[in-house]
Amino acid sequence: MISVTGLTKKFGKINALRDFSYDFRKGQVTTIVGPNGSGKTTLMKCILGFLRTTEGDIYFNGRSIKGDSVYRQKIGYMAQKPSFPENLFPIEIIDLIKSMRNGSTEYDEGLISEFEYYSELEKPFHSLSGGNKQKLNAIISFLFSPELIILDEPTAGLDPLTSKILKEKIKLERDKGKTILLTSHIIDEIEELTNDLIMLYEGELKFRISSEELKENETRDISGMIADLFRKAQNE
Amino acid sequence: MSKLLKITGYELKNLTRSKWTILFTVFYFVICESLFLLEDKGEKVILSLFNFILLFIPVISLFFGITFINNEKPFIELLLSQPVRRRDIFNGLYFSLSLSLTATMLIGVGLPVVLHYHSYKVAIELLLIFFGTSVLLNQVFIGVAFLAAFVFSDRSKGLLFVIGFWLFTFIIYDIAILIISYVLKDYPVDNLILFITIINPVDVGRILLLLQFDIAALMGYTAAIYQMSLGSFLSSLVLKFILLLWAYLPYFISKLIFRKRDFIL
Repeated sequence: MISVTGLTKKFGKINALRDFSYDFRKGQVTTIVGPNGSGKTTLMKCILGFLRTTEGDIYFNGRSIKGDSVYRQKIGYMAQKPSFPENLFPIEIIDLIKSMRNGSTEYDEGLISEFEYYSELEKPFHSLSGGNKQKLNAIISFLFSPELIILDEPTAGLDPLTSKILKEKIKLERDKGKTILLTSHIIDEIEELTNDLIMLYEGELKFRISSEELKENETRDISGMIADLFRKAQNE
Repeated sequence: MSKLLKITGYELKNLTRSKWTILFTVFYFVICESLFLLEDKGEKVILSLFNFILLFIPVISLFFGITFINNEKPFIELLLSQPVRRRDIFNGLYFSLSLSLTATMLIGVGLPVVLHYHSYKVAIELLLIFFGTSVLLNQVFIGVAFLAAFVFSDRSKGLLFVIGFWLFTFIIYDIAILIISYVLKDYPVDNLILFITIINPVDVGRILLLLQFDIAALMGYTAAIYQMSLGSFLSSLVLKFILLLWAYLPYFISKLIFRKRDFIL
């Protein structure tokens, strides 16, 4: 689906990512864990094309993404801290985003009804609560049934019911064969959603555990494993 | 193309609903109306209006401009994650901000001018130069705001640059001209001054309008030099070209940067 080869990203002298290679698999939730500043968001932004890679390449369905914008037709992205033009209404924002993808006519608006969001659609964005802003972000990222869904700490700031709905949605899309990239610091969420687990430390891919290996680990004690991994990485 | 129109249209809607845009329009209108009440000779009113505009266009365009772009940055990221060319995103933001600030000024200043037109009667050409220069100056400072916002990822650095530029056009430049003409008073500095004027768009705009009056006493130092060395017609032609360049270059350079740069919030 999406494969990254030898990706290096430097900001000046700082190495945000070092020689990162990985194939993200279809129909799996790949969770990227790592301490703050380990390069998780940088990796996502390279895949989205916000950042120009220093070295290496990213292939989307076998084609390099360099100089391309059309591949983003198939990506849904949920940012950590979303913001939209503050005087527009959610319904206008959704219309604006829809018109960015020519050709799409069928929209997945399931989350609007599941979040019971209809009452918020015609209020100015600046008057929405933090959680309702984040919900709009979620609705937009699933709107086009994208093949690849990139979620940067999706449930941060959501109430328990909403995050449950969102997690169910993530699992549903995964079972439909979508590729999902997730970062999170919430252990419960990681345990519930993860198929493949990779860990970044100071920009390097330190560990990878496939879903098959995770299944063999009978206790599925992911939190213990992650803590072990963090400790190992620090001791190296 | 339709994506560009959509972004421009919705951003324009967003700006039109902003309380700031409404405030600026009312502000321009109130000040202009009071100037018309204070002065009654036609050309004098235009001159006072222009001095007032020279003071406020840079402030409004620079500071509102950079605040607007900084607030839009997270949304720009979201747009970047869509299948849209970066050029369209940039132009959408630039066109919507330009249109709304130009409309703000044209309504706030233009309405009083039209309302009082019968009572002061100035040449249409003067009015055209007046509004043309104002619109171009507006573009200059919006361009500089975009440049500051996209050259510096750090918001406070961008704001600092904008403050510096504003101080330069208002105080530092005048002091520099004063010092140069005083220190070098024994040498022929006219050509040097002609050249230095180019770096301050506010002065270029000011000279451009003053040349229309042909009253040497009103002109001030730099404008007088222009008229003496190049004559009114050639000066006005050269200055129009410089002002156009000032309006276009910051836009062009910041668009180039926007298309190439990394986006980190």
